[in-house]
Amino acid sequence: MPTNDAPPRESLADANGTTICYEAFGDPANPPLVLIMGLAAQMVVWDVDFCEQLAAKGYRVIRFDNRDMGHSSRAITDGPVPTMPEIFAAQLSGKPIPIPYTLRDLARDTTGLMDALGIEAAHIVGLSMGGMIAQELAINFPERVRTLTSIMSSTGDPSLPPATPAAVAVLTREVPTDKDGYVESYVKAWAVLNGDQLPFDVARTTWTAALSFDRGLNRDGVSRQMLAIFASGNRTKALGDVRLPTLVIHGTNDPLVPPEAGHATARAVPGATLVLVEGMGHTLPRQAWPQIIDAIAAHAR
Amino acid sequence: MKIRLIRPDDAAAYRSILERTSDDDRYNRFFHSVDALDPADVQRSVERRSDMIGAIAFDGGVALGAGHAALLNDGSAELAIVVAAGSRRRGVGRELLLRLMVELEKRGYMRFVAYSLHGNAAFAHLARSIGFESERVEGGLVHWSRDVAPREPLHSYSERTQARGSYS
Repeated sequence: MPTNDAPPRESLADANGTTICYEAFGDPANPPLVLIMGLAAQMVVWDVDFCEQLAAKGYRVIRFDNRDMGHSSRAITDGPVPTMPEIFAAQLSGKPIPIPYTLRDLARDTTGLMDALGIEAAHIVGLSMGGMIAQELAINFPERVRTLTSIMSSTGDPSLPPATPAAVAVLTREVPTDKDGYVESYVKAWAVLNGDQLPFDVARTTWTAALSFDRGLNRDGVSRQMLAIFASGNRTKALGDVRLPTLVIHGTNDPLVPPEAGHATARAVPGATLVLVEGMGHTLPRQAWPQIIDAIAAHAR
Repeated sequence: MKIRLIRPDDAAAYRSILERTSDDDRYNRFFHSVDALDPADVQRSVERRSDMIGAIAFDGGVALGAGHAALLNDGSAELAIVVAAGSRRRGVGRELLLRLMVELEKRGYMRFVAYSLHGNAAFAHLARSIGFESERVEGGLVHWSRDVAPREPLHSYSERTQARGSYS
């Protein structure tokens, strides 16, 4: 595992006025591949070894903290930000909630980061909410996307099967504010999302949780990202106009974004390829990396 | 909120920020008592200088806070911020520091340092949230630092476009 003695890898970039913290792996001369992280998660959830193995396939891999996460800018909003339970309740009741930003704004952060790094177009790989942002890039900024890979994500079609109650409970849980409590809660939550069909790496998840805590938590930011997902609606129709090489990867045991969402994404984009990872839940277990990395490398040409 | 680099015509705005701070706030920023605002000091803080850059945050026409980075001879930069009363706990200081660090990285600075009074919990929380680590406490001051990755060469769009053939 990386240690705190590792050489600094983080850098900052101005993405249209939003500061984005990023890290790069691999030869800068290689074709760029941008990894977009999901809801409530920092870039460190893209495991360093995963990034380096992907870079070894011949890419310049870039991972970054989305707005409101980690060491990137946080949105500044007036007044209290609703909690996750309040957001879910409002979603069910139809009660309107002010939306600070949408997934398209987060897609603009990605293009802003690419601008700052001098990247005209990149292979775009997004995970969960990051997959939704990647889809927004393909829809709205196709000239910036060489290929699209959407992992454990969804079209936003409200008719798709919902998350399991246990997975919803993960999202709406009260997150402890002390480090030990946070780490314990994080590991329990990711164990639920991992499911029981592939091994769950407690040690590595514990390390990631502690690192995430040390890099800084932002409860309001999690809520704002959730609002962005709800506000961004159904992309199915727009995905039908995407003319980019598209790969969809989904676990067969995903309790948060059920595999039907992966099928729906692959159906929505003309010519898309779907790769199902047997037993994978809503995590990226090491055992699944070879299949996922090989699929991305075969696709992102 | 908008943040931009500070300009010579920001003297009144910068002064207005300092006027909305307490004696303790100013001590936290300057580490000495600042009872009266010397116009020359204020002007020096907004001028274009080779040894300092500044950033200022506005909401509408109201100045919320300002940050400065002293450019040190050893290739590091020392950062400090001040946020007006009424604008705190909103993330203004965090964004000011991030804006300054982006600018400093562009200019090749790879080490950032900052100092806070021992017991300034707000700054400690802020510093940690953007990757600073406390090195030591000395003379009642906490020494903070953050190293950044060596910058990779940037490729211009045209260079990238010309090189694209080799990617596919």
